[in-house]
Amino acid sequence: MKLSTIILTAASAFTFLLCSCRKESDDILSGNIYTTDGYYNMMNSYPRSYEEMFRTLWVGMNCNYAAWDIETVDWDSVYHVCLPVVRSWDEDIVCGRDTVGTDVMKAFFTEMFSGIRDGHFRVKIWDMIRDVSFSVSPSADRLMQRPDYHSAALWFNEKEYYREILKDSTVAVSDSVSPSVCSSLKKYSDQGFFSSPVQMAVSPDEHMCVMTGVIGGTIPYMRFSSFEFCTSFIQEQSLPKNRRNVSSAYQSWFKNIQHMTFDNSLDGVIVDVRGNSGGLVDDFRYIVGSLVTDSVIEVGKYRRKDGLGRLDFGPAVPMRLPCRNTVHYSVVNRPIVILTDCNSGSMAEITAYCSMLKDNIFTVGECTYGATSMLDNSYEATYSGSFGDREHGPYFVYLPSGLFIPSVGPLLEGTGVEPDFHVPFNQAQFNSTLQDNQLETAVSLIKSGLMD
Amino acid sequence: MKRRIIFFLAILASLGAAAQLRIGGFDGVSLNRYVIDTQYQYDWRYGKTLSVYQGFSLQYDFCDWMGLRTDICPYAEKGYWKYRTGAFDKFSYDIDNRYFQVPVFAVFSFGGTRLRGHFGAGAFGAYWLFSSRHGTVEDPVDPAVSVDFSEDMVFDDTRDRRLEAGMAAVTGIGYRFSGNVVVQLEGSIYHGLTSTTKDYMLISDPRYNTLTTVQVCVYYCF
Repeated sequence: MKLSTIILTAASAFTFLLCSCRKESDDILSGNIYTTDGYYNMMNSYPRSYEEMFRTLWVGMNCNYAAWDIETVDWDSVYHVCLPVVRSWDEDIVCGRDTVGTDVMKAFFTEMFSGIRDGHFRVKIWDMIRDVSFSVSPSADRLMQRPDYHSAALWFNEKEYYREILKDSTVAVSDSVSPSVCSSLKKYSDQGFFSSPVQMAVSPDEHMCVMTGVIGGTIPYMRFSSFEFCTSFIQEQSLPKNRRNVSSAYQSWFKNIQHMTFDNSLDGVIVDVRGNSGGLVDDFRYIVGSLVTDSVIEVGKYRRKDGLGRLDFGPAVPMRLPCRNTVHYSVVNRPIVILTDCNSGSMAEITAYCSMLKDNIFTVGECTYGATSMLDNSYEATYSGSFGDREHGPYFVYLPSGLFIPSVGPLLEGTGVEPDFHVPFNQAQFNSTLQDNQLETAVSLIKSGLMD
Repeated sequence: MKRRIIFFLAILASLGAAAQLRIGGFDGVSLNRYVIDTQYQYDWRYGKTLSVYQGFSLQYDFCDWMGLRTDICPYAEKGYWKYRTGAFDKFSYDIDNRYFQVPVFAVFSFGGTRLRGHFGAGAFGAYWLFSSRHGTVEDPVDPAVSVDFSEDMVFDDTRDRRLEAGMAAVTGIGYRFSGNVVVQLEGSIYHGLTSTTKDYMLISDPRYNTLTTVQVCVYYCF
């Protein structure tokens, strides 16, 4: 054999090896594949089996969830354990047996997702065979196991009741607030606890209610059910001035702070986010952002998912929350108290977290919910976060697109913000005497000067 | 069997008679291509990055047409440019991956006494020294705003495979000046066969580097 032939053969073999020795990727389907109106709808159909649905749900979580590095759950093991169960459901259906009820399915998915730490995470699943849906939320399940758990419904609910209760009260503007809370505030108001009538307001879309007042003439107080001031203000612009209830309630709180700061009569400010489930990050400018001198507050970093790999993460970029950009007096030498409870979630927690960044901000109450990452509808931008179809199934996964990394202290996801002054809510006392021990403690702490 | 051993030793002895050691350095440019299957995330792009490629080289010639060569490249750049197109073109960043790379080639040469061509094939091993990235992304609070970032990447033992291995090839021409100095112009390719990520998921999602270099080598022949 000639040398040239040998060299040619060796070169060919080498080239062949170059081309063939790399492993191919598995085919990875998007978890968003079954959306009926989404941009990424490739199949425009529903899964043909429980196994198919399970696989896409599992892969969707694998690729979209942005905090796998803080999880202890072995997601591959979940697949191996769950797949045979799901296959048995399909076999039952093929054989004409209907042994798996919706309750069994719910228990199965509850167990499957029980290890997910993210506080926002929840899954809605449609049982295609029985045409019923159910939701699974590991964080809600964990919340109910907490010793300090009490229902958020205690605070904002049952709007028909309070209308009746508040009819003849000193409360100025009424709308949907919990009867207990309203009764409590009415009692405080009647006792002269509030030095001016408490204003209550509900946003035009009824998603948010606000209560404001002044305690003892020196402590402006505001309680609100969610962070939706931005949208409420926009919605109210189309209404007559006398029906702009949220704007009016908010302005009374803010103006009181301004006046009291100006004439040096302010003892402190209370922002009550108990039962507040969070909302728009832009609202930061209207709450803490209106009380500080900063133009922005960098609360930490935000790291999105970035890639198909479970541990592919994007850069951690500063998360800067905008503050009020108009001239205003800021509260610098007086305490700002954030009242929190176990139902304070998301933006309510970010607000409470500011107590770790500012010397004059304190948290009083209970440890918060533990859902601090953002949902920014960025599936198209980063292929991460929520996926599935919210309305038509077969599943919808509510999921943040990234992970909030606080600039001070440990991660808050799944654990929440520990208050500076831990005051468990005395529900029995509240139910019997309408006495709010957390609010009273906050007021006494401000009055005592311990926070100065 | 004895005859074969004697024959083999005789060949080695004859090669040794023409043996020559050469030591040198090289300087050039490298172009890395990051090979990844983007699957349904089809509008993410992975562009090539151009960088400097420098190092030392050691070659032992068994005879005038065959030698064994090893290079030491202490800082091989195997980065890439990751970016989005269209509405999400705010997302754009350069990933800088530095490797300590050592290829070993069997080199064959041909031609005259001064001007000679050469080609070689072999394998390489590389160790991922560090990784960093910089660029712009969408602001997490205000999507209308871009945010610049620059950060060192922390290696994750679960995810990252810091040892890389693959096949290597080189070809070029060289000119021998004044007896002992040889200058070579050459191109080489380093084809990674190990994924930069470990097989840590049930889903297989390997990523590979392909480094192409063009460099000038200057050798001193002993």
